[in-house]
Amino acid sequence: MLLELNHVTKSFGGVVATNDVTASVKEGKIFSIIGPNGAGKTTLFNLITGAYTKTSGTISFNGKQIDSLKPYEIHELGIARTFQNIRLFNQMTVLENVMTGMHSRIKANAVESFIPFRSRRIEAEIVEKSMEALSIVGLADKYAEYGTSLSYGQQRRLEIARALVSDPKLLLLDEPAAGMNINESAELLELIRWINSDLHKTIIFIEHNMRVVMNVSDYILVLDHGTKIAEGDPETVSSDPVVIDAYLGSKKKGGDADA
Amino acid sequence: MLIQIIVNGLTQGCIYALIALGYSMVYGSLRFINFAHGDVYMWGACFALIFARIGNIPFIAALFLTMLCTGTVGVALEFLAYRRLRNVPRVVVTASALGASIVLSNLARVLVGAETYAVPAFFETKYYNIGNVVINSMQFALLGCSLALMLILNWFITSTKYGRAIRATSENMDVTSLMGVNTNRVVSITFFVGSALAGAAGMLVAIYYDAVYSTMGYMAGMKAFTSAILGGIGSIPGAMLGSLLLGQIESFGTTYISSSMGPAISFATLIIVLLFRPTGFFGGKDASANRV
Amino acid sequence: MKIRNIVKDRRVQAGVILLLAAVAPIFLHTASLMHIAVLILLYIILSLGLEVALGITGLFSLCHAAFYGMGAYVSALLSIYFGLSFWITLPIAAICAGLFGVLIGLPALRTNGDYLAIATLGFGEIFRLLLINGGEITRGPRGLPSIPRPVFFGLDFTNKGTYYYILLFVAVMIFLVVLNIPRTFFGRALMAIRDDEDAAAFMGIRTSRYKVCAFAISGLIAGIAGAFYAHYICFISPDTFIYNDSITILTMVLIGGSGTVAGPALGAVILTVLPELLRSFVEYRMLIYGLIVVIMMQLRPKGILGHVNTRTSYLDSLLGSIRDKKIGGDQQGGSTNATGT
Repeated sequence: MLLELNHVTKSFGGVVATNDVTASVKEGKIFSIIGPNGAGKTTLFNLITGAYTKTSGTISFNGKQIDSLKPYEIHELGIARTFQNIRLFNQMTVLENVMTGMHSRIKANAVESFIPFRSRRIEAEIVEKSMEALSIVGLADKYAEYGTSLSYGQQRRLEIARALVSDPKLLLLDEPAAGMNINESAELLELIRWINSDLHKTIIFIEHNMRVVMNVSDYILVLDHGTKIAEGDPETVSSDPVVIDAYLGSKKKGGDADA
Repeated sequence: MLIQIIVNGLTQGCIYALIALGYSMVYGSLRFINFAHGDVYMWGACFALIFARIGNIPFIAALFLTMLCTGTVGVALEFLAYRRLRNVPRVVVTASALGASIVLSNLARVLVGAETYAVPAFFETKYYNIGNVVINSMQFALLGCSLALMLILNWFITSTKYGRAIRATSENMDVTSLMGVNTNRVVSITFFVGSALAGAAGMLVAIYYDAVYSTMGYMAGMKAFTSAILGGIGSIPGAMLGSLLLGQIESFGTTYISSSMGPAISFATLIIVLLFRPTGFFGGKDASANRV
Repeated sequence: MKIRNIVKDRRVQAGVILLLAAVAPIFLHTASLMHIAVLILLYIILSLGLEVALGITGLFSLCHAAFYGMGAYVSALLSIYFGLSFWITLPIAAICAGLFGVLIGLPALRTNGDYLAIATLGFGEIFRLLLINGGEITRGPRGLPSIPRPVFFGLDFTNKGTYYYILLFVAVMIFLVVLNIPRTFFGRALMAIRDDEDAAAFMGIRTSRYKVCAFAISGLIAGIAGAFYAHYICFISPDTFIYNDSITILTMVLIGGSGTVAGPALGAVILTVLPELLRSFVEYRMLIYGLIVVIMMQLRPKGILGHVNTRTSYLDSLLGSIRDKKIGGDQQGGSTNATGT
């Protein structure tokens, strides 16, 4: 098991955002977390990446307990993520954004940055790796632009490149297809599948649209109100009456809110 | 001796409270620190000086006029320096606030003068001996006025339409604006109320210490801000309690540690609070709670 | 090569500016003009120091004058009481100011934005109060007189010209160091903290350590300026290192364009020359500063040179050298080349 969540609970004040979730992610698989809005999916990511500290339970990665580590320590261990509400470094160019993602993989000491020729050699190496990551997501020709000038879909792919460049063992994608049109999201799923099969990355991705994940996922975890209501391979989950009920129920609620 | 120290601390604390409320209210609605607030307070002292020099204005009327004037200054400040900067990086707003602070204090330097001015008395000073404690009529006026103003503010915030709008805006500005509240007006009112209170503090200090000078806003603003932080910025009762606390800390500190290092004690308190409990002692809004 | 391209080349621009700076003393006949030239260089160093904290890392520092004062006082005290040579006191002063920066960086571990600005203000104020209450050591508000001029292989430091050239050299060196910071992974970590601190932590950046580093470098640079100032002016007192000076330096950075390195230097030049031109309005100096800041923030929040990006050209040159290394190899790199330029 690459990642194991053991009875993880997180509450804010009195509100329980994640309730006793147990799950394990196998290496080399695409693992999806689905659930209606507010089901506690992003909270789970924040727990894994160290943004929040759990209220109870344990999280371990590669056999090492990580639930009390700082975000940067978790990143160093090989977990990289993207964000639901895109968080690029807006005053940096596309290439620089990706280069920043390399940070914890740089062996050099910060002092070496101040030694002229040494620094240039280090940077050349970072640039090379970063350009590779950019070409994977198809943004190599946009390297000198600012993140804000990219389209929504491109920004999401840039975030993936930024996460990918650190060569993580586990990639956490938080609703990577949100706000994309059908073509874009199909392309993106293709990319995710390719990252999984050719780059051998284990991927956990969050989605609220069930149809999107059915084709790509090896394993699905369904959350509702912070609690795990079902898990299993796509067929099992999609035929599970509890899941159907939760989804139809929430759709009805969503419909009311829209009207 | 001990009671005298406490009474002095209470007097200082009330002044800080009047100023700190403005910091807290503005932070509550706009989430930034109005660095120019201390200079609005200084303008309160300047207006008091002007009204005192005109003469024949009763104390209460002068107080009312001063509050009206500084309230207007506050509204103008918000309109000119901050209104256009709602959705820009925080650095820009902070810079604008610093700039506005320099403008206000130097405007006073140019218009009122660069010296320290004595304020003609509004009423005769009497001294009262209660046991070993000496309290003068100035202190009574100061304590009475600040207490009354805080009670009025409390009533305004909890029981009036605009007070409720201010509270709602500080909960969530976007939602409030969706609910049909004119948030620009609410922000203006917030600035008016906060600045009027600071103006009152300025006037009370001006007559209490009998001194008005153009740089008086800097130190008082810093200390009031410390109080607001102590109490948890954004919280109105927190600002009041924090101010009273700082007043005592300072009063005891200057008596028992060193009088010339008095301000340093406040700043050290500020830094310690920022280091160990940035959200203050009375709750307030936790900036880091809703990250990601 | 068209003339326009030559004019637009940053290296040419830098060369011209440097040449002008080098020959400037020939045209500055009077001692007071030379004095202004020296002040410009000191303020350039100071604003470059602030640029590291504010422009690159986004940390509001309102106690830059305290770093400056730390450098000045440490150097002055060492040379007065221990008779040390300026060339020994200078690095010690810089290191002390840097350590002071570390101290001020501590609140930055817990807070940021406005809170941090206030904390730095508090530190600046405490520093001033310590100087004033320093008893016979700092001589309180009376200041430290008769600080010795530096001695250097027979160069005459009573001559402002010598001082000017030494400072010019130091300023250029510091400019190059600061210009290089955003081009390194170290600087990129600082910029990431500026743009989105939480996201930076998820990229594996130890945000607290880098913030303290930024303050230390900022303080170190200001300390260098302070030491030079003390031995240039030969008299220092606490009034030189107060809030207003911090604000002046801050204004320079913001007006010029924080985050661009060249901007703060330009801001320093403008805001040192401007008051001299407005000599008769000396009372209005701070008022004008304040107005400029407020108006600039409304109209051009990024500053005069806010749009300048000196990093991409460097990255381009790195990309170029990578391509040269594997000529004809990678097709992907080749396609980038075609579309990228």
